Amino acid sequence: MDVSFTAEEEAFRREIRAFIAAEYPQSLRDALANGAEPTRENYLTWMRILAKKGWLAASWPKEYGGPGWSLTQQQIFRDELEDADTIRTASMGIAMCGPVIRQFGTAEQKARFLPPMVNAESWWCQGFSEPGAGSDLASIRTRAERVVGDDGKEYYRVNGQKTWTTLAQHADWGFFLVRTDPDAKKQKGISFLLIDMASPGIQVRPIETLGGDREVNEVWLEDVMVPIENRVHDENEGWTCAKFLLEHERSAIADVSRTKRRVKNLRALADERHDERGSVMSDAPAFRRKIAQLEIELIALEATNFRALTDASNGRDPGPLMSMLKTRGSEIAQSTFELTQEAAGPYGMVTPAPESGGIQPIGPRTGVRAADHYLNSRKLSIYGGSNEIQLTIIAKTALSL
Amino acid sequence: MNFNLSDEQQMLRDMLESFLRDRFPFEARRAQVRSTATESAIWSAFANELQILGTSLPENVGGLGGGPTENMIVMEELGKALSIEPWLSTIIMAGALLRDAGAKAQETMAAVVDGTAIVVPAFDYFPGSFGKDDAGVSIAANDGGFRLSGKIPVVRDAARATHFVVLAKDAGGGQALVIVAADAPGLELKTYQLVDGVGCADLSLNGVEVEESAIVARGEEAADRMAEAFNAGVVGLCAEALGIQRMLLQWTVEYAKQRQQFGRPIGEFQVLQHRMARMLIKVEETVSMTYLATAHLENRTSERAKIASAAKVMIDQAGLFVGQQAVQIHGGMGMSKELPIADYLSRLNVIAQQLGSTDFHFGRYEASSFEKKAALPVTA
Ligand SMILES: Cc1cc2nc3c(=O)[nH]c(=O)nc-3n(C[C@H](O)[C@H](O)[C@H](O)COP(=O)(O)OP(=O)(O)OC[C@H]3O[C@@H](n4cnc5c(N)ncnc54)[C@H](O)[C@@H]3O)c2cc1C
Repeated sequence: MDVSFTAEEEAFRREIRAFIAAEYPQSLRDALANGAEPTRENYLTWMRILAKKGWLAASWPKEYGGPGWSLTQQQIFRDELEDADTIRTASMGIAMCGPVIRQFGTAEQKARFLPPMVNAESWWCQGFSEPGAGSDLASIRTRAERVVGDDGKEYYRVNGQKTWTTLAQHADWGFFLVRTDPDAKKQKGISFLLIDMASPGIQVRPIETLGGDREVNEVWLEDVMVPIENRVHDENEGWTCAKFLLEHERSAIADVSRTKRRVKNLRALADERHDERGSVMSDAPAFRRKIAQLEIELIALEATNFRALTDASNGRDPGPLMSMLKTRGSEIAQSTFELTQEAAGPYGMVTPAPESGGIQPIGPRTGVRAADHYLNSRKLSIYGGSNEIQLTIIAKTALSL
Repeated sequence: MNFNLSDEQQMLRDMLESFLRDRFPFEARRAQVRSTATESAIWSAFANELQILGTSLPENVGGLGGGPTENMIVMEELGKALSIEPWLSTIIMAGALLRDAGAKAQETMAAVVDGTAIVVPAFDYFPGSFGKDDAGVSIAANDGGFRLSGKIPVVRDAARATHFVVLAKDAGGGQALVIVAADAPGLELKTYQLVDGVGCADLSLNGVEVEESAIVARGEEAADRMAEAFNAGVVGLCAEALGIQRMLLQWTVEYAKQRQQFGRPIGEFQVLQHRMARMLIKVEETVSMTYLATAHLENRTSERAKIASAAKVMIDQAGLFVGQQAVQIHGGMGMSKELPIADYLSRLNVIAQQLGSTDFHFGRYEASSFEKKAALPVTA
């Protein structure tokens, strides 16, 4: 048992910190101050800088262009990125699709798709959910039929509708679950396809959501022709890929590093703001107790996360700990947003007017758009397998109920 | 104890409910929130077709002499429709501030009843809170009249106001409630929108001139009127929150019956059944507290401030639960603006901070319950 980091790990942390301090563009910080919605270019600017250093695919082994870090190093890296308030990197390629291709893809697929991910040259989106298939993902209906194209080659012709597709408006590529055998039982007839988002027949339509920013989309597919070699794993083996991928998604979703940063912001805000009685919020006993409760829960979450990391580092399956991390991670993050909104007060409730396309912030920067962000955080307990679904998994796998 | 509505009150409810259902479908609300128009067809209809603006106001301004119960009924219906009409500001709070407060006050409220004026209280019950420390308005004699200068942050409904009621302090620290015309020279608005779709503004007064008659109350009396308006406003918010919660519960149950996953309606999953049963319990508690607080106002009991705060605490908490679970049970659809769920949660979210946060009302309740102090908002 040991809670301290080794000297090498500390040196590693310093190296990361120094790099971010030197390389994170001030122009990016300025562009995103005041709660502006990041553009595609904003994201890519930082992703390219990380890619050049070889750190974008932080979780990947060296042979695929990653830095080959240990799980602890990866955690330190994430902590430092968040602590320095850097823009998120688009992760659907690196964290979701990439691992599936590494695990199940052919040599050609690896050579074709992995390097652009590592180099920030391709943006990926996840086309799983459909209007009728959310929690019950295996009931997807988007149909892929094998046809021979005008060029004499074999294709899948894809028809259907995906929904809730995060940042599809920015994506070059999407990884999709499609039904290739409509007669097989639910999970059996599904395949995993990589689809060029510029293909004719694809339409991306925004969905307006709570909290304002353009985040999710409907993706309509009409007679989209997908070369047969864009299928990962065997035909009708898509569910195996999906299950593998969802495990990766869940572990990232605990998001300890990010919540730690948000708590730091909350503390700064609470030091600055006065409640209705005129007390500094961090001195008001009731509010201070709420922050303490949150911090204690977060400490426990982080410790649980380390246990899961330890298991994974030693090749043991963390099992239901993953579902626990997702459930508690989302709840604790949501509490952070709630308290931040509380500390921000009325000016935190100001939202950009629908037609204005921008905001004129009032009040302290750390409180800007606190209510929008709180509303948006309701997604955390819905996506990536809702918390109800996670609890059912825990009951089944850990308690054999 | 009697929580029954009279026949007239029941009629008011039915009339308003069917009016809003027909004339203010949710698309109309979306359009109203997006527009910057200061005229509202709904408010005009309240004045001219339904003639309800005077329901809770005294006869000496052309009202019908009703009171808190009528306001509760209206606020609940406005909540159900997620209306952004300024009933809380203009009828409930300005009504309390200006009741029997002299000729100018009566004339102004009479114009409210006939729909030609919208009076909005423009003062901050919590000066110095949340970093708004440059707030406050000063008043000084000037040429037979008075001049007002200062800033007032976060005034709801400001863009629609024809008049404001402002709290001003003179050099000796004495305070006065003053009616200020919205178009008075020297009055400037910086407008913005909150997440609940309501327009707000930060006001600055730069030497705004008013006549002696515009001062409607001074000293103790001004403080008493503010406290009365505050309590009535808090209870009005509770009734609005009740209407909002009712709709969220109703829609969530309907959705759970119809949304299929895993080959059956999600409403068949017991965990969701229990969740919705809890939502119902919260809604019923909200009903109870709203009725109770309204009855205390109606009877002007000595406990009305304490009970108003108790109601606000319960209802903020209930609203958070009902709103968040409504979104959760709708899944992704709960996040989407295709349904009104997100908008209703947004409003509950703002209510939890309006006229005192949940923590503030805890404090006010505690002061009253543990220290036997009547903690008026203005002195708290
Ligand atoms: C902001 C956001 C971003 C997203 N991004 C993506 C993306 O990029 N790609 C993608 O493919 N998907 C994405 N999703 C979709 C997400 O994965 C689904 O919303 C999620 O799986 C839930 O499905 P649903 O919305 O259809 O809700 P439903 O499945 O209809 O669930 C509704 C409610 O019923 C409950 N429920 C369902 N089944 C059970 C059960 N058996 N027992 C108990 N309760 C149950 C749920 O927990 C939920 O509370 C995103 C969603 C959101 C909100």
